[in-house]
Amino acid sequence: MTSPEWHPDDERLLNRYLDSTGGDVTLDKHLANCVVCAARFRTLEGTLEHAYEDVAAMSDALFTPERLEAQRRSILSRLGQRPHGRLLTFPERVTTSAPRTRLAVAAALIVMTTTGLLRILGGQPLALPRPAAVVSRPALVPQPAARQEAVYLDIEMALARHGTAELQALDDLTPRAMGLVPRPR
Amino acid sequence: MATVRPLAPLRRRSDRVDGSTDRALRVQTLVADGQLSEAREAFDGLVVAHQRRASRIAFLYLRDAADADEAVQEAFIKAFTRLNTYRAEHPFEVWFTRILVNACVDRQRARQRAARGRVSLDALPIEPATRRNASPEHRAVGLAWRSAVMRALDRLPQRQRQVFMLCHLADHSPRDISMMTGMRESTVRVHLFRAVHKLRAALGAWRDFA
Repeated sequence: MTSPEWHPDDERLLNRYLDSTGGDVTLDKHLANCVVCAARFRTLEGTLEHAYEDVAAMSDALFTPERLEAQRRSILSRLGQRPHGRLLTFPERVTTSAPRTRLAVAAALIVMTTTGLLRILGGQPLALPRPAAVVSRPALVPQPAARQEAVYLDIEMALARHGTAELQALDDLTPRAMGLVPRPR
Repeated sequence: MATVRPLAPLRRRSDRVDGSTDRALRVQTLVADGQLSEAREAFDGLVVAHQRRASRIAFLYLRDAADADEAVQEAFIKAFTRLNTYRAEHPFEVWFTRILVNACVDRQRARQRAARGRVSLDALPIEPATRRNASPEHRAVGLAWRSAVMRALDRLPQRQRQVFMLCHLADHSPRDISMMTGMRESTVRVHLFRAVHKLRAALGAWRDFA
């Protein structure tokens, strides 16, 4: 294998350079006897070593012992800090423009005053208006049949409108709610 | 037949840190026992042992000393807080370097997002300490060589650059890099080989100045 006809390729030379165990005995034997390959190896080695030394020197010039010491102190200082809870920024309050706010307040006052006056004039005791949520809460008791009829009628009319004709085929497949409600005789 | 001088037995010239894995495991135990003060003291030894090499790797990635400094600090803090996930199957150095590389990559991406330009290589203010006393001509050549090395490194594709830096400049073995990056060892070697080829081609003209 160490005959003059055989010469290692660059990859093998590189592996030899990188291999710290020196396991490629065949190559070492060849390099010891072949001037050309030994020169190739030295060139490779020289380029890489020079690049390494230069980069290392540049880095060492930047990261002086003083700087490394400061870095170390900073790390220890940050490690020494007690872990603290993560603060989440609370969403900021939505600000509205001043004229709009004033208008809303004025409208609320007018409504409250009018309601109070009407109650007094009507002889009923003054009471705070019921919250809207209570008023609009869905009824838990069954609605009267007439009201249900009106709702179903509205749906039927909406379905019969020009814009919803395309949905008619789909609607035909849907069970008719009207059929479930006993009609008044 | 001409006599050739014998090959150097090893290429490793670094101070590979021994005992770091044991120390890391000790810190792990101290943290688990709630002895945080002692854990920090023990961890300090790991910082001292690895910060120089870590700073070099981070600087090669980020090309900015302040950014590199911050990345190294982040990596050490992350290593301390996540030491409970460390397993002794890999050397501490390998585990830590992986964290460091990730920190550098994150910073690099953040920097790109912020559209901040990389520091110009020519604008680097500090020249290698080894050439401070050289003649003006040699210093000029040295500065040009340094720029050529950095530019050649910059031109490498990301993977090749990463592998070359970790292997040759940060002195990790292809096997270590395989563990750090998740690439197969054979892939690492291929990237390394291509990187060296390109660097040799790029720096060939400078060899005479070596």
